[in-house]
Amino acid sequence: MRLSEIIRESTGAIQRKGTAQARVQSSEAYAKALRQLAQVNSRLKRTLDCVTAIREKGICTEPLLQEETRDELWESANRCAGSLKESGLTLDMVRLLQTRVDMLEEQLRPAWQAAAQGYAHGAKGYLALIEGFTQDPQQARSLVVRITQAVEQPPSLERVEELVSDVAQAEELTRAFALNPEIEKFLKRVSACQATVADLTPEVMKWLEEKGLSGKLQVRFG
Amino acid sequence: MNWERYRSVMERDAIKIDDMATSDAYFFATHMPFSQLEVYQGGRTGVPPRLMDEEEVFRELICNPEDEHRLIIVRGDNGTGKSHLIRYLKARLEHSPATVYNPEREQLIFLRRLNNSVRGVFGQLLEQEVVRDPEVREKLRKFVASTGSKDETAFQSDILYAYIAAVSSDRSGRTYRAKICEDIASYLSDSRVRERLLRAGGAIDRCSQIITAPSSQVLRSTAVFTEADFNDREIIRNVFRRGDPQAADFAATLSDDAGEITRLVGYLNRFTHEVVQRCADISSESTKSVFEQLRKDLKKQGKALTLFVEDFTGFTGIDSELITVLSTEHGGDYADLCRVTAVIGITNDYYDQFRDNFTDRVTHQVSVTDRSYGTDDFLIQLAGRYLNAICCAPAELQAWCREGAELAALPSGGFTPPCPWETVEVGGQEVPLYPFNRRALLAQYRSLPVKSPRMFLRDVLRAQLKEYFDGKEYGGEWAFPLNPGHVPMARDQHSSAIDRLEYLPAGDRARLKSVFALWADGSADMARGSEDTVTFGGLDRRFLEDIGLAAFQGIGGDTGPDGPAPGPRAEPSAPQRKPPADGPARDYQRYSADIADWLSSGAELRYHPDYRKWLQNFLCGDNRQCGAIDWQDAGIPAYIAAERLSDAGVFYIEGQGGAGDAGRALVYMDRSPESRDALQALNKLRYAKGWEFEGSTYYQQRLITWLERNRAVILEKVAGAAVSQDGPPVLEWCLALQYLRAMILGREVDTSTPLKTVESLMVPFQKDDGMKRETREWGELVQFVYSRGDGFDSALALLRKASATMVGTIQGAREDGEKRLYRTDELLDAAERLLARDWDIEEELPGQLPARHMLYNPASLLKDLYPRIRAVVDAERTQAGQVIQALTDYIGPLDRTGLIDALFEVRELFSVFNMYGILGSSELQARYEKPPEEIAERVLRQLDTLKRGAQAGGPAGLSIYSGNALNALSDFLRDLQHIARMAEREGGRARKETEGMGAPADLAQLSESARAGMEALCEQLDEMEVRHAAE
Repeated sequence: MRLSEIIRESTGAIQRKGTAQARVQSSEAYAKALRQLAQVNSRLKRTLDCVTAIREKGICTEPLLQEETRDELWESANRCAGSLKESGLTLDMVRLLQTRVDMLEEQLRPAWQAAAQGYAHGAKGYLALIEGFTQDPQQARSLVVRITQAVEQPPSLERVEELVSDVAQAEELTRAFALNPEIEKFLKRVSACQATVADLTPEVMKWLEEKGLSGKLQVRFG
Repeated sequence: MNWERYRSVMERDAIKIDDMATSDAYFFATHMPFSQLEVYQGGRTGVPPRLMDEEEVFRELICNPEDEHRLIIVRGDNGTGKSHLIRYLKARLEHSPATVYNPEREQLIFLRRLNNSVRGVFGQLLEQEVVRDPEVREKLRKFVASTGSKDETAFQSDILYAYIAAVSSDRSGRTYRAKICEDIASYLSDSRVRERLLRAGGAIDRCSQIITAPSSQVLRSTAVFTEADFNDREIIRNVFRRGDPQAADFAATLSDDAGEITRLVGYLNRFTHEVVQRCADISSESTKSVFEQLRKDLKKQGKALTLFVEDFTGFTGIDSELITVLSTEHGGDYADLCRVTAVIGITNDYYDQFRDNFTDRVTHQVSVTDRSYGTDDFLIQLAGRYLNAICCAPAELQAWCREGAELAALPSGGFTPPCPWETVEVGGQEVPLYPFNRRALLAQYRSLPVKSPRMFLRDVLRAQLKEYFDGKEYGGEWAFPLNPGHVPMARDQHSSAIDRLEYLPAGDRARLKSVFALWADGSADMARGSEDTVTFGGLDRRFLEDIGLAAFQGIGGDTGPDGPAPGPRAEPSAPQRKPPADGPARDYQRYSADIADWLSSGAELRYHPDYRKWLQNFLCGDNRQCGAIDWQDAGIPAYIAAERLSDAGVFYIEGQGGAGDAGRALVYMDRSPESRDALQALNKLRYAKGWEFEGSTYYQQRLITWLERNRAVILEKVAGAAVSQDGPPVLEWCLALQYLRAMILGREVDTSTPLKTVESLMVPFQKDDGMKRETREWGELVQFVYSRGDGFDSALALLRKASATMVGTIQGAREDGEKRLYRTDELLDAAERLLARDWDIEEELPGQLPARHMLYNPASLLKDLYPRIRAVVDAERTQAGQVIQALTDYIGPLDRTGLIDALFEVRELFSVFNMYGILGSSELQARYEKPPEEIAERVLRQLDTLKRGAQAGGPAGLSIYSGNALNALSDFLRDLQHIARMAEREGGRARKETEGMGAPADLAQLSESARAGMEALCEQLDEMEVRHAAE
């Protein structure tokens, strides 16, 4: 065989291999983009559901999602959806959507903490004050801890449900533990380390004896 | 003129080697100011020195108004003028005004070199009342007195035993272990060794000199032991065989290792200091106390000390004590010591040997180097001052000195030369350099083995003047001028002509040559000047007359305006010109009688080696005459003839005594009247040094007759074969060999014209292994050329020498230089003939060749070469056919279009490789990146060469294949084969990988599902309650 023929056959085979190789690589990239899109889709849906739940459960009185964020998310999601019609989805498109979901979650977290704090503050604070006097102090303490953790952690649908449930239980406990104003005033001063002998009115002493707490009383010069 | 007085003044007053011994008058009259003295701060020489003249040294270092502590050493090699400088500085200080030197406040001491033994130093210290301590003074006085009268043998024994004791007790281990030290002590105690060391002039004698040398002696060195003291193999052997076991052990060490003697000498010399102190019965402390006490006393008197030591060598044994005391700075803890300015003369050798003693103690160093005295003007001035001082009346000079020794008032010697002569200005007056001149003084200084002022004064001025004064005083036995450096005359011919001046005694001829070599311009050229003055080599004839060479009349070759020089010619005109009394005449008669007897009585020739030499010179020529046979015309290169006849053994004279082989002779002389006359002619020619003698025509004719009768036989024997009219074509053979060698080695030869061809072939070819050949046969031929390199080189040498003219050379060209005159017409004829025959002259080579004959060696080598060349050309042709066929298989028709198409395909292949990241051969790729047209043109040219080669055979084919076109085309074929293999390999790999890839996965379903999910999400987003930006 002449040299020219050998070379032509060789170059043809190399070029064909190149084309085939490009096709396979393209298909693999599309599949990878689809996989990642599915993950982002799921994440975004969960976040949106969470936002909706926070609003519906009354944790927050104002909408948490900003219009601009919503529009950006919609634009990216719509672009991905459109590209799928022609199998034109790329990893770049998915990454853009993913970035915007990240931003949404970033925005949501402080808003959740502020709203949840406000929602749980009253019940959690009072419960913390009287936890030692309740029927089941351990349960009361546990409730206080759970509520505190739920507020500090990132929001999720499950966490919203838990918070609502815990706050309801806390309110239940405090309702059963009614105090007259004088006792309540004494306890607040004690918890603030401001109680004096003058605060030990006969009403208070009586309440302490009833509750078997007089043995725990200590007097100290400030 | 009072020559005796001059000589006496010179020897007793003017040129004394010890400056301190010279009286002030002569010292100042001959003093040459030093300049360019190198001055260093401190004892090291790391930083560049300051250059000062002697006046600056005096002003800045010797004058010491600030009372600073100074320890100054004046350094230099032997004879450079250290003492002279020290004496000048001392005299300059003494004669300074009271503001600089006030004897009331300054104690000046100077210790002379003369008498510079330990005894001498102590003597001087006592004389100058340096030693104040009565006890020490008494001790030294006893030592000085006793050493003069001590029994010399006993004293020397004391010295030797002091060394032995020092070695025996050495436990330092610095040079030898203690055990070896004991062996050495035993060795030194051996009677044979002891005797050697105690001999006159031996080590112990030298040590004794150091301690007690008489006052008239000047010590030259302080090294006691030298290698000569131990380098006696006989003694070492005897001690080894018969000596004490310990001594024998050390003798064995000495005999085994040549460097061991040097080590031993260095080791023993280390003890000299200790031995001298022991033998002089002085302790370090007492020596130290001498100077310490002096400084304390002076301090009490409110005085400072200025000490000049001319030569520190004499302080051996007390040197380190003196340096220690002098280096102690006054003030502080030493407030009881006076200030010291010490100026110490020391040789460089001594300084280097005891550098540790000085380095950190010395405050200044003044180094006297040849910068200070080596200039031409310094030497001429120096000579002028000495010559003037020698000629001055001593009383006048003493008076001048007493009156202040101002140079401007220096008395004149008043010497008047016999003719106008060179002068030098001294103190404003012109002093004649007679009997020297500037050229003579400088030439003699340069011929000195050791160049120093002392050597110049001693070996030039004093030695020559002594001979001159003696010659003038006594006449007759002139020895002036001396020429110890054997400086030759620049003009060899004139020197030779003077040698032939038989009317002058041999001594005068030698003196004449010395005069012309040293005083004149190196020649004996005669010239006449105005007023009828005659000069030889630029020297006035009256100078020659003044030194007893009046008989010299010149050597001929008059260059003056008035025609030939007067006087007889140097050459004899005829054998009978002079009575046969001198050597050459006696030889002439001896030879003549021998030749006559040889023919008349059939006796053996007694002096045949001489006659054979005469014949050799007659036929081949020598440096005075051309050979009688024009070898070149006879077709034999003169170079070959000279080589063949260079051995006197190839000349044979019938009836010669001794060994000889008539059968092997190239030149044979029979016993005949003709031969006798020829020999007599050569005898007369030799004696008369030419053909100017009575009867010369007859003898010329007889000699030529003999030559012509034997000429053909001589030529044939020298050539080694019958010589044709034109002689063997040696040049042709040599050129052919050189050309064929060039072709075989692949060198280019410009054959555009015969002249260029010859020029290209007259140069040697260096070995080059870089060129690869395709056929085994060519490789073997190259090896053949290398292995027979001597033969080829000889042929080239023969070519260059045989074609060079024997008569006529290029001035300045060396014998083996590149500048030559060639017989170009013969070379061109040879080149033309070779070009016409395409360098194939195999058939013209002689059938039978003499073995190992210089003339025929090239032909012999050619005979070996041609068949090999033919075999190589055949092999190349076959190989070329195969390569062309293979290329055709790859490319198709080997035309321009086919080649360019193929080369474009190659480029395309590399382009695809690059595109798909396939690593091919970068070397190949670079080679074929060039335009295909260019490569195709080159390949076509190579193809054309090979096709031409297919038509030619023998040397013509060799010339065609020499450029290595076959190799280039083979490389091209190998490249194509390589490229094809790469293409096939990569193509196959691509196909295989493509098959392995399979079809891409179907993602339509997944895609649709994802789209639905995304649309749902968009809807959810649409429905989401949002906070507007304004809120």
